[in-house]
Amino acid sequence: MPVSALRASGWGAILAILPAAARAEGGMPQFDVSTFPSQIFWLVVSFALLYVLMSWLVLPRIGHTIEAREAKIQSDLDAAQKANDAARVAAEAQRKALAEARGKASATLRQTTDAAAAETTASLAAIGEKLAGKIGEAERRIAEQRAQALAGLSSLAAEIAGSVLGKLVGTVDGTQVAAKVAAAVETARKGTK
Amino acid sequence: MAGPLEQFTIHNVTDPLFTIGNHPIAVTNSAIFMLGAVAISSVLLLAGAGKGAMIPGRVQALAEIFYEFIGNMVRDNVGSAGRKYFPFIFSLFIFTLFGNVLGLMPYGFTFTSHIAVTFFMAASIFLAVTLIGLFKHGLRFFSLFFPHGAPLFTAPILIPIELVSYLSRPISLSVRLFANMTVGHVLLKVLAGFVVALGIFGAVPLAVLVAITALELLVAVLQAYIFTILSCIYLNDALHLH
Repeated sequence: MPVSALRASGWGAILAILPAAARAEGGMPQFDVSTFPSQIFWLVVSFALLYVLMSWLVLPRIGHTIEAREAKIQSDLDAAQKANDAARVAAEAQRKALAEARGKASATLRQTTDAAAAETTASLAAIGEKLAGKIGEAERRIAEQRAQALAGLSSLAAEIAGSVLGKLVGTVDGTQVAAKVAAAVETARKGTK
Repeated sequence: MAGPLEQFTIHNVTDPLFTIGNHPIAVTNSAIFMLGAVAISSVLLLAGAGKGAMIPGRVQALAEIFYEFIGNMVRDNVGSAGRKYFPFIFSLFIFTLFGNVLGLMPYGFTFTSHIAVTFFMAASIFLAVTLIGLFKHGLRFFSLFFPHGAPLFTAPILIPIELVSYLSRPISLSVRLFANMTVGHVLLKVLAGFVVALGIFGAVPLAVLVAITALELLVAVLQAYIFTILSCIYLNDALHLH
């Protein structure tokens, strides 16, 4: 096994190019058995020292730091998750409140608009009614005055005709003249219509 | 000029400090680089671990990358049962990685290019992993040597094969690292010799040398990774059997 491992590592090839002198000097220092106790002694001492330093001082501290960092990262992530959840809840509540407020506002708006419209309609109707009353009153008065004027007109005409006839023919029967004039006026009025 | 193997020579920097058995122990160039790898990596990682800032700086990010890289490796290959072996696997990776890379520095010495070091590490891991498996599963641990679901009559063939393959793990693990490191450094040294020998035409091997150095840096990182991940896989076998 060691021989094949050496050969596999190219050891044989290296040995072949070594100067003969080096080999003649007593071979490889690695196989000088007299150095073994000292090497093993120092190996044990230095490795034990390293092991003690590593396992007592270095590794617990590094392990503690890494764990503390992981715990910190985890707690930060948790806090962030919690804050995120809270923000989502708050956003949801805010959205709901906003929708509610919007609904309330539009309801109020509609109500106000409806009330104003109703008021307007009512006052318009009242004004219309009043106006219609006034118009009717005015029409009635006009008709009355007209009728009065017309009635006055026929009696005026009969008077004028009676006085004209009296001047022309002397005495006249007032009633007769009046009837005739009235008839004439009636005819004339019909003709003008 | 020094031979290509001279860079692997271990020499004492101080007089022997004490003896273990009959063996004098002195501070060697290998020891300096082992302790240097430990010192540099510890300073770097302690600086990275120190502040523990929420937003990491560069050094902290580097330390955390190492941590998460090995953490994921252990989790993916061993599972949650590998958690208590994480500091060991982490130290193993850092030690090999810094050893391999420091060896590539000019005037550097690569302690992972020594079979004594790599084999001692691999054998210790092998032994520890085997003991962990035995403690955890008792005699059932030996079912590792007979693939689950294989016909019973294949046992006389399969069990020796599995046993040899299991026992060769420390050898393959250690030789892989040792050989890769040694070959890379020998290759660099030989090419460097050509640069000097060829005079003006040495520019050609010099260009190759630059490319090979980049390759060796890759090998250094890769071999540290392979050494570590294989240790994870062996550990996983012992913890979970097949």
